[in-house]
Amino acid sequence: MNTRISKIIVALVVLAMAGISPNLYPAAMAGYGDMPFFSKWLLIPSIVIIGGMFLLAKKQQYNIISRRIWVGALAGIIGTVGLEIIRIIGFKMGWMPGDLPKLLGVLMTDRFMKGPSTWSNILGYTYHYWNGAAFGLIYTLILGYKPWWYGAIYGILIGTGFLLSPAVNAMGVGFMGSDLPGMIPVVYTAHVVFGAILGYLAYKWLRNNAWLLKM
Amino acid sequence: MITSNKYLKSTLALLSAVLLIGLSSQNGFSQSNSDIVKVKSSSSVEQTVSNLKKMVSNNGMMVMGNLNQGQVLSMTGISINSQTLFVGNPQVGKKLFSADAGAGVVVPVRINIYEDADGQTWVAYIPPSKTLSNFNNPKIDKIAGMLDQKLQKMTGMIQ
Repeated sequence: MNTRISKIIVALVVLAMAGISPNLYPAAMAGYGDMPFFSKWLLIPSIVIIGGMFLLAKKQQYNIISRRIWVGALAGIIGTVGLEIIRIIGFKMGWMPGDLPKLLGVLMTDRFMKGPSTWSNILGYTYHYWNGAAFGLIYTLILGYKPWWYGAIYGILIGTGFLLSPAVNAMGVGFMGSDLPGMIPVVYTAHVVFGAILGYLAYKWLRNNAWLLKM
Repeated sequence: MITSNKYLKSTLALLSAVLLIGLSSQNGFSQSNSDIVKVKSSSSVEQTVSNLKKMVSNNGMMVMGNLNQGQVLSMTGISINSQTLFVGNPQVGKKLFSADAGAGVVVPVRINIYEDADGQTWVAYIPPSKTLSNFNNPKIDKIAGMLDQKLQKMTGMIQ
């Protein structure tokens, strides 16, 4: 098979798999299934397939793809640290309806009625950070070499998608969280910070392989 | 004199008994029937539960738990098709429990979906305004009214 076509197929598979994770929570909240099922049969397989595609890209020396996967995932995780700082401050100030990673954890472990446990918190936070990695992968595969502010705009789009999703609707905070003063600014600020960090790191790492991290 | 005392005691005992029976039957009736809202569903219990889960989300609520009473009771040898959804949302929960720490006795709201002896599926619930009125708190009553509307809207969409 033509190398170019192979690279495109690998990139498309990674994009499709990366798109699964962020959609699971909204789909579960919309009543299309439950998180334990989604986690077992969609989330874990999608992560495994992305890992497989990364190894395949490495083996076939599709460096442009493997680097974007690596950089996107890592930059996305670091961007999520920035997002989390804003989110936690917003939550402590009472501007958010709930502690999202903990909520994700109880949904994934099917223990909503019991409340969070250490294990459910670990899973919830891992899933939240993986979502950051997945959005990072999507960004680097599509827009990787663009300046940092492309990342910030990307963050705004993700924040808007979140506010419009059934995940927010199910929390009873009105359209886009408008019943809870402070939620919209927190969500947008957190996602702009996420996107800006992602965009900056992706730009630096993809253009200069040795910048901060040798990959 | 002795006879009239006896007569008076007997009359009082009879009156008390009648009153007690009357009160207890009236009480049982109101709790078991009058406050329950029942909506017919043309789908199976499982399909109705699935549809309701989507409606719950569309109406700004979350399914916090799903108790399959049919499965649980199969351990006793009885065969029924009944599931109960526990429905609420973080905002409503925060407001209710801030207004009264004892709100947990009636929330999250229960929606029961069951199949009767004729195979008809029903969706049943007690309007939150009925259960939450026990708190005699205007703040809670306001939230209860809102929950009533949401439940009415949700169950009104059942076909």
